Amino acid sequence: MIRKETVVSFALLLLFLGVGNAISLGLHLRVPGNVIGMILLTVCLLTKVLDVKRVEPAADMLLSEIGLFFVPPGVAVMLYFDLIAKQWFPLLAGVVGSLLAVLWATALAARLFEKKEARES
Amino acid sequence: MEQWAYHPWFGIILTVGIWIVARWIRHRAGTPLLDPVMLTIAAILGVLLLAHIPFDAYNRGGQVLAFLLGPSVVALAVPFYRRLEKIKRNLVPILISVAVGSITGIGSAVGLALLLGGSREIAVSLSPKSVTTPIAIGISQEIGGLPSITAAAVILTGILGGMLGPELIRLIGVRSQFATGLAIGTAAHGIGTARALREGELEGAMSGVGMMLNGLITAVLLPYLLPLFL
Repeated sequence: MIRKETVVSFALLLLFLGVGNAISLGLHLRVPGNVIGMILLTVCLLTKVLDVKRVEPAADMLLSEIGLFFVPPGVAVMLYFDLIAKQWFPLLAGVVGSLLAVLWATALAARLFEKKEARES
Repeated sequence: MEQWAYHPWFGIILTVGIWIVARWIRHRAGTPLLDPVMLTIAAILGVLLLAHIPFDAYNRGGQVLAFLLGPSVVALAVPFYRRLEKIKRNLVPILISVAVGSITGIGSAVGLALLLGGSREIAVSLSPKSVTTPIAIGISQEIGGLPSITAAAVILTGILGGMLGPELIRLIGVRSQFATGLAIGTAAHGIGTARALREGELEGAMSGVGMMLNGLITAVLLPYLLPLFL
């Protein structure tokens, strides 16, 4: 059973998506329209322009199955099997090396701030 | 080619059906590392290749499901807002730490790929590999990458980070729960966050924050940073 609140909140999400896409295209920003929509919605929630209860029903429903929606873009990998066969090494090494770099850089930066805060207090 | 495979319902029913089975398998296995997205993609690839069904046929229905990615990314504002309310006081140090990780991630992915003989296309596709998949796919489209290669790299990153993240962080002597959680979420998005949640409540919460902020920072910075590396 789909409730009216769910339909209204889904329409609100589509509205923010549309505005985000319009801003991305209109201002020639290279940031994806859906991310701009997300930023706008976050700002509206933080400033209490919009109550989180208004968007929660559809948001929670979509997010509980979000993985389903990026299966088809992932299946498109079958178009690039030749490319992957040729470039598997830089791909794999890039993933592993960069994962390590991000883990360590973020952890060290966060610990630096933690120590600074401990000294100050 | 069989006409029925070109009907949108074919792709939709195949994807949703396998997705339900994959979620059940993950639930039974009880480990976040059996990523249902990876399982579903692998099973669909098997079906399409064995039955000689072209991607275009599958994607008639596939693109209907993929359309919902747009409102879902907008919907990420809800968990993001809930977390921001909790970390308001520490927002600046957290933001800077994640930004450090984000820029390191872009630079190291592009640099390593190019250094090891990868093409420009591969390097670009790899650059948002630490970002949560729905956002990474949008970024990849925007910067001229191959979204499906990006999705594969993102999922692989998540699984490796979920498997080894906490151990790799301990390797450099960092023990702080706060730093560990933030680093795992920044590096390995949702799949890493599932592991961080099992390490502890603080790790899980910080990992979620790292994931959201890195998605946001990378989406805004990457299109403008990339020309510096290429």
